Amino acid sequence: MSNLESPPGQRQSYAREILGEGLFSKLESSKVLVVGAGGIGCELLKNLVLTGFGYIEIIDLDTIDLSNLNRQFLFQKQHIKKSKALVAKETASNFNPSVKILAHHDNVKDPKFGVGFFQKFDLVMNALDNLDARRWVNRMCVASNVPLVESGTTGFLGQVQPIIKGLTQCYDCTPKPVPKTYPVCTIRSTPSTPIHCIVWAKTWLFNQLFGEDDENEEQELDKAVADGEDAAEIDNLRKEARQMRDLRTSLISWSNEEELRSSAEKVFRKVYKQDIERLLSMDEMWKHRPVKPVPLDYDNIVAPPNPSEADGQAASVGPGAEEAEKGEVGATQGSSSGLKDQRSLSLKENVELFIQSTVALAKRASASPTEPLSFDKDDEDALDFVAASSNLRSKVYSIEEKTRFQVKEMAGNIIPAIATTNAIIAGMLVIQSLQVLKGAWQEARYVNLSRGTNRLLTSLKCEPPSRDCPVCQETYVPVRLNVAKVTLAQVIETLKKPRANKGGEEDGSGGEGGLGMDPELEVSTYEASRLLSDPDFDDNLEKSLSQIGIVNGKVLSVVDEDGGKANVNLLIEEDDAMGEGQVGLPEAGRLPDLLDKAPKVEERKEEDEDDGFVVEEVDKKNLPLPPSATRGKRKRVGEEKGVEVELEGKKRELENGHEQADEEPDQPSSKKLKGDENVESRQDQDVIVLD
Amino acid sequence: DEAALYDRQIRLWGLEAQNKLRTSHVLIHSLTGVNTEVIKNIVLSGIGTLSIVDDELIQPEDLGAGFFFREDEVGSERLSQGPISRIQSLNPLVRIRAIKDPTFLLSPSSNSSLEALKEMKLDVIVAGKGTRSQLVELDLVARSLGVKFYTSRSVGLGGYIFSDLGDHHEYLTEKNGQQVTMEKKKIKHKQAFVSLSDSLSHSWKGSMNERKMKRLRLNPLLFGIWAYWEWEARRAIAEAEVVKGGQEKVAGSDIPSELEQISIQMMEEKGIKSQTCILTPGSFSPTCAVLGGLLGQDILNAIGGREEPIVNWFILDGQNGEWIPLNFGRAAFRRVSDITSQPLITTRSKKGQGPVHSVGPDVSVVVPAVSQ
Repeated sequence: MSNLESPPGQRQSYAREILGEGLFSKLESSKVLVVGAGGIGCELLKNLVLTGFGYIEIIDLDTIDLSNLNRQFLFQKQHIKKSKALVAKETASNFNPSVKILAHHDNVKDPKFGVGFFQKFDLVMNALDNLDARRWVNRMCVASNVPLVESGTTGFLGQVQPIIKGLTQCYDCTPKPVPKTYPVCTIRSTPSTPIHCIVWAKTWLFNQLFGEDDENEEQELDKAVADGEDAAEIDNLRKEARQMRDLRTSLISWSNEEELRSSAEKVFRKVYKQDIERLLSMDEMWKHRPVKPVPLDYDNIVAPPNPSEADGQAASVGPGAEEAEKGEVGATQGSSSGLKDQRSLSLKENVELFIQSTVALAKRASASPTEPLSFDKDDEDALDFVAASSNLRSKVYSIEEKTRFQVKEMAGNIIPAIATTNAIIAGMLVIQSLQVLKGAWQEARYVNLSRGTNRLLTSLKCEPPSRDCPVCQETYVPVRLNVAKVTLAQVIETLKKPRANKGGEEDGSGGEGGLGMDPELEVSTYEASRLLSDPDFDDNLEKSLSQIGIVNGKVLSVVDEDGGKANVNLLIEEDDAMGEGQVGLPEAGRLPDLLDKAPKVEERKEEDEDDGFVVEEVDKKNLPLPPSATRGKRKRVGEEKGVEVELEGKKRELENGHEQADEEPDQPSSKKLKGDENVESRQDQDVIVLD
Repeated sequence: DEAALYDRQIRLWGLEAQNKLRTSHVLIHSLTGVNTEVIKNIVLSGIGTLSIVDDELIQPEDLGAGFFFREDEVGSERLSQGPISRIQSLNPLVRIRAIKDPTFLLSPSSNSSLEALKEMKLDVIVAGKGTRSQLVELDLVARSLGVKFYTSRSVGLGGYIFSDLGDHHEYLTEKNGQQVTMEKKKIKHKQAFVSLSDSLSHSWKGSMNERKMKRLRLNPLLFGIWAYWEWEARRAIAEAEVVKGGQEKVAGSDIPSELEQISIQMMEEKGIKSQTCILTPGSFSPTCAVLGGLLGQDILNAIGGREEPIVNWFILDGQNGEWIPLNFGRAAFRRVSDITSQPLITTRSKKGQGPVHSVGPDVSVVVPAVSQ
């Protein structure tokens, strides 16, 4: 009979047997970093702790929400609103008290998690839910030369991708889908699908009435004209915008309930009647369109001349019986769980929901005029408003209506997520991590989880890096310096000095040696996509790094203007001990080689809508490209259209899943997936797919 | 609140499937590593009732994949208060039943067992332990009662799932439909399964050429597992004879080579070219997570009537750095003959009998067949 006293380590006797003593002791002494404590993160942490990994750090900036509990099993109801990372650590520690876990309730992009931080790990595992953070961690791992195992799930699908610099593709070696954008006119004047109406309600109408004063709107309209959209129509849109501003003012400065309600009615009359009538008067617009919009008449809907023809079940709701109607809507919404959101509303109910939610939002907006509202799928009033106003618009344009449940998913970019998929992917992630720790790169596999019996799980050899990858084909150099005492010019100068002899300097400061860049090289410098200097722009050269925002954790990119050399990215580590003008490079023997750039391959951009793009479906999903990719784009866009790139405009944090429900998978390399699954796994980041 | 809790999954499989889950009853035999994962997954997803059957005590090794157990509980019953409360805390909406007497699963065709099983109104049985003959018998009983049957085990880096969802399993799949409406198209399917008994007696003899064989992707691990079952059955008979003869125990024998012989013989009989495989024993957490995830989802799909099911053997092969799972047998098994039922001698597995790996009931090393 087995010994019941359980000497330490006996819990892992199977793992020891299965992995062999060598690999097992490697696990015990390894340090791993888990980025994300959500769906995959919880499962992953459990596996790591049970398998016998000795030291784990876990980062997540998110807090626990009720809708997490169907899969993030380390969390329970009493943990709602608490830090995911901390609770995950607390629960998982019970599975094996001898494992050391350090939890960070923090953003992985925080400067304190610089290259120095990443370098202390043997392996990094991504359990993230958004492209931006994935790209960030990928880049940090490439820069720190630490292996990364990347993962993602959506619904039944998922994948695991081992990444090691120079040997396999990195996360950015394959292009990632770009968020969908819609032409202005489609959204504002000629919608044809439910999503057009939802985008209109959520990004236009909502913001017009309650959101941040949109300064970009004018620019956006200018740009639309420049892109060749209908100038006369754009002009009308401008006029409408001005009227909307007046309505906004009247909504926010109300003195009594009745007045407020009548302001809300005014909004209704404007957007569903006047604006539509105006559009109808433009014959050109409707010549080639099969269906013309039909304006809605508020009075007819609310108090039909002949009650027997009233839309919906008006029996209990007399005209003007506001309280009664409120009660009714409330009652239907409160009934039988799971169904309330999936019920279709009658026209009249939709109108009432529109008025009610407008009133509710207006009250909130006027209570704190300095804090504009922004759409949040979990904000009941905001969701009511978007559901009602988009469905009313659908009615106008004879478009199929959506239930509140569906609107929530489409407007909130919700990705379905389940425990099982996360469990499978997290298991595979550990299995691949074992190969990585073993150093058995040729045996590491890209694993894909699909549906159905035949291709449920497939694994593929990892592809070699892509030669023109904007991330892993660049040079990364950690640099120690005092950011207040070194100028940009001094940094560039150091880079262009010849390298010290190997072994010549032992103090790690690089001594007098430089990076060995060609002194004749004309360079520009960037911080992400922000231009700091170029051959014709030298204002910043004599400023200290701190003056131009280059501080600890930032990456200063040095770009060869002629494009012959790959970019050099300096990873800034602040060191107050460094003196005036001193730039501490790694010792000569550890300096990376300066790489040549791969021959340029013309990048093709998909232009799927002929009238250009627009509208901030993008803003929430503002997916920052890695700096160098952005730079490339910046140039191109600048040249072609005379516009700076940052047209996505508004920034919004979407770290670790503020926006999305769960892990989104990336698009597995296109050749790896055949058939219909492609479409589905594409849905994730696009969020709103209108394929 | 319930809708909010299950929001992300209702968006995947729909309200109808969720409602079916809500009223379902799943029975799980043995808190193995794989079943620990299965339990976590299906309890989180909101099945109606979970009955767990187990009469064992917690071993130190169980802590390696059994995250419902704690170090200070080693030696106490697996179904004691601690583990049960941890399972319950995953989802307070699920009814959890602990059954400490497994007799009705070990001889399921007896009248009293049948009665007990009928009364439970089960939707699914997941057998995590049992000899071949016990599993075969339990599957046939499940079939006769219209209960969906699974058995699964992890062996080191690999493992298997067998599923028998009956003769008329129906399910829906969704396909993205028209571009404009984004409406999904629902497609109805039917799938017939064969019993465990029939699948075990299937032979490829005479019907296979090289190419067909390749396409079948038969994994040697399967024969390793089958050989182990056969060996276990033979040992049971031998032990029974030993007991009759008044001796103390079966003479120690070279189990790996016995297993190898059995599997070579088995592959030959079935018309399969023999291959090598190594079974490392024991539950390994990441493997259990993968198998338990796949099995858990298949159970949820089976209950909800959604998605293409696993038909009918699923082999996860973790050998040689290849993590390619294998599956075969899309209802392709012909009925040849039923396996003759072994006399049911329930020997609780005796530890310390395996020559190399003696840590657990599920264990043994199999090194079948090297000849190519």
